[in-house]
Amino acid sequence: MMIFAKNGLILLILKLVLNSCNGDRIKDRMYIDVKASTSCFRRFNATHQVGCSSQRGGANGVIHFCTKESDLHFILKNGTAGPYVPIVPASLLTEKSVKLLKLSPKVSGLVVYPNNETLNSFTHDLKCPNENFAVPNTCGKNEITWNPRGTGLLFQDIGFPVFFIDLYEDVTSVKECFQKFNNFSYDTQRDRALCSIQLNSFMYGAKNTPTCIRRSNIATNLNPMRVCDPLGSKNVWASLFPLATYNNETEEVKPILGQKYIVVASRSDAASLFDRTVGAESPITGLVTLLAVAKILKQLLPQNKNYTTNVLFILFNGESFDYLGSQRIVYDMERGNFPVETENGTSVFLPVIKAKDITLFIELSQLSRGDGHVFIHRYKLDRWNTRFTDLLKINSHSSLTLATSDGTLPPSSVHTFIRKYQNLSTLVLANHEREYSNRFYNSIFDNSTNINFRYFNRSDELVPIDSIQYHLVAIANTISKSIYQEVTGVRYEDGDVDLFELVNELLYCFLEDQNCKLHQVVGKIPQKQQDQPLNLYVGVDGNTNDAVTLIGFILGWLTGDIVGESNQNCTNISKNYAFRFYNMSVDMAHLNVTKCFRMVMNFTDAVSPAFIIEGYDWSSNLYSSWSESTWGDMNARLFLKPSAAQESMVMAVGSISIIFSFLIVYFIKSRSDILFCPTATQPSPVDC
Amino acid sequence: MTVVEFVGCMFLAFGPPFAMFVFTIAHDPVRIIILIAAAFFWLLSLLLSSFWWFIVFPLRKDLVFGLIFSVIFQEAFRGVIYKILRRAQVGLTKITDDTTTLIENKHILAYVSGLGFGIMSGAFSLINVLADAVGPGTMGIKSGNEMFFITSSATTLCFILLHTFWSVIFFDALDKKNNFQLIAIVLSHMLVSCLTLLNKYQVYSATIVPISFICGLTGLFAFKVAGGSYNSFKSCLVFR
Repeated sequence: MMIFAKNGLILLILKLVLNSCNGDRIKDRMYIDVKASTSCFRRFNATHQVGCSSQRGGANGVIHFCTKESDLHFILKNGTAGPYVPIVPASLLTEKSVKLLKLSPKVSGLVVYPNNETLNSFTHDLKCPNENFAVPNTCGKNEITWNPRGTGLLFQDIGFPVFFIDLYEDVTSVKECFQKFNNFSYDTQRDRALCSIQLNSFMYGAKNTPTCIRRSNIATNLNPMRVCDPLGSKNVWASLFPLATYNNETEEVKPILGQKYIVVASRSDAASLFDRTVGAESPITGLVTLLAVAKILKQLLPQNKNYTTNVLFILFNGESFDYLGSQRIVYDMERGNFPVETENGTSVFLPVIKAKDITLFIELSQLSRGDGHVFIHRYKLDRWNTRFTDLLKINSHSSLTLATSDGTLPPSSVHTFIRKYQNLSTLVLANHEREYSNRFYNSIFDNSTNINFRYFNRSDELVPIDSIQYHLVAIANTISKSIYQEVTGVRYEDGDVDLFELVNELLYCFLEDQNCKLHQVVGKIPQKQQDQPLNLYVGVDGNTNDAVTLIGFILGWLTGDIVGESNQNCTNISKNYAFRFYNMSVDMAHLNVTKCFRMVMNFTDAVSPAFIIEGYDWSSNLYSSWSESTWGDMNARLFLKPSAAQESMVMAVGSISIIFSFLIVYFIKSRSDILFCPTATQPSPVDC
Repeated sequence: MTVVEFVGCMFLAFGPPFAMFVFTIAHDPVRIIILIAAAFFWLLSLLLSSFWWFIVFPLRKDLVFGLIFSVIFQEAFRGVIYKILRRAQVGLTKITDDTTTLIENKHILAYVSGLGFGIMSGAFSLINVLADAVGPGTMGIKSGNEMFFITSSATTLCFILLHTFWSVIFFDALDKKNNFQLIAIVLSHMLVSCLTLLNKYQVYSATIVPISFICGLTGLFAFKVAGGSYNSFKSCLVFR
């Protein structure tokens, strides 16, 4: 019944209210949604809020389409109909122009559109990323600035909404609207209808993490509203050899104690000013190399022949935000809670790994090809990393130029470990010596183009020797062979392992199409199937993003053992922290052939210790304290703002109508007997 | 932002009906009841139109089809109100204080029910538009122009007034069994409604000018039907 009435209602509205032959609402004709837009949002640390927010309901402003910096100055100087929302190319999103806009009362928001071809750099992290939680004097001194092009906007409180439009069609429609309504006689802009934009990205949280966490926990009503969530996700760890022995008959699991570990680590998150991240160079080049190393080592060392050294792969999450993932792991290690939470420092399944068990910590940082250089950063020289450097040089692939850089330490998880354990032997492999070669660090333009990635989907195609795939395979082989030699004491004499296919596929999965073979292999296709890069933003605690799950399972698949046929029993084999069992495809070429895999891989919480320590003193600045505001809607739409004259005209007409009608109706009513009485044609008695 | 436009449009469309309500309806409970009843009957006609539109699914896209039948249903329900009011008249006289005027001047009932009809139809046609007028934007970014809201309001005002006039003439026609008047009413309703179809070409003057002209003519006719004349008009202007 309701439906009928509703339909009829729409019909009659159409009939009486005029105007359209289709079922649009009037609203649809007044607003153009800018669909492909993402916004900058708000985060907090212990003392500040950073990022952007609109007013509740959105910020409105007249658009001004700029192509060069002078356009921006022009409108700030000559605009008569404020407030404005400048639409600027990505190259204009600089510290300088944002400062200018912040000071101007005429600006209510900012929209950025891409112009890749002329972009020199686009990175909004700090010049010294994570400076406050780094080892002192590793950046900003001795001519070392890791991210010299960084604008630091990611960590500024911008104060007005900033949106990014990435679809060409949307940029065109904005531009057309501007040309049609705004881009002429600027003196008279006040007097006509102008094309405007509404940017809605209202953030519920404010001030800083302690404040907004407290506000989120106020139980004043039955449905407390969260205004912010701690940043957090999962760290992934996996080991080359099992950490425990498994007895097939008794199903008994016993930890293997007393082993030493070589840690191969990489970060697994990226950041961006906007609500979308890509992260091709950082972290994907390092991450993919790590996965390739895992694969090669598994092939070279399929079984533990009583080696005293095991290899531990760790992927740290949230490292862009003051190393929160590695801080948590160090915190857990100190308390005997790594790799698994224990009651009193011992576990019946797994050996408890402490920092003293780590002989060597190798971190893979940004590794895109550049000029073929790979720098080995050794913060402190010692017996272990000197020897390993020699091994790397011995086993180096011919296409690589290995160079050492002593005393330098680029931003990496190593900082967290060294701050706690000065004597840890560390190596950071990166393609830069004193500053990033990556001009798009932690931004949306750190995409496949940035690392010159091209997907080769036919195996017979000739692969250029300077391709990123080739380069990463060479690095992975070099590292793997060195680790092989370190673990076994014997040099690996056979040729390189050809992993081109795997690396090619991995990069494709992470950078271009989520619905790729590898994700099908591990049976974890993301829910949102889209041919978009994987979103590598750390996200908020309790809402683990797809990326970390996928990467974890791929790592598990690469280091896992086939223990039997694939069947239901496989996943029913008693799960514990030492082993996990999954049915997965045997390889990428045979997706339908599945086997039962046993993997030594698991996730640990990557939430800063600041959020789990009872009564943590926020001013102590010991741990990362980033949290993210919650928000409702995030959208942008174009509309036509009526001129003041038009508004006053409507109001005047309306007011005249109501005043006169009151007068006239009163008059008619008081004279109705004369007006409507046929007899009243004769003059009525004066005294009646 | 354009809350100003919203208020302006609302004043334009609903100001005169409000004034009429305040001065001519509000003092008498019986009139209020009749007004509400008439509004309810307009809703019933809407419901029936929707049923009809829903049943004849091949023509759902055709605005003209729905429009014509909607007009027919509205006029039919005007007839129903007439029947009911004439039947109820005796009962009404018992409960009203104002017996003499309600009974002696049959046009009052017609006027009150017509206004109820008009107010409800006006509300349904304009409220959705007004709801969208509150936002920051105005019409014209894709198509249409800035005059959209004000012409919509003016059209709505015309329709409210027209419904009032039509009811007065319609009741009179039925009282006097004047079929010519009856047909004229239905035709003029049809004509005015069809004129609104021109709005899709966005030449608003093409609709608003003829509609207000017809509204004026119908008003004069209703004035005459209700007993007014040029002389009475003149004499009412004379100050006593």
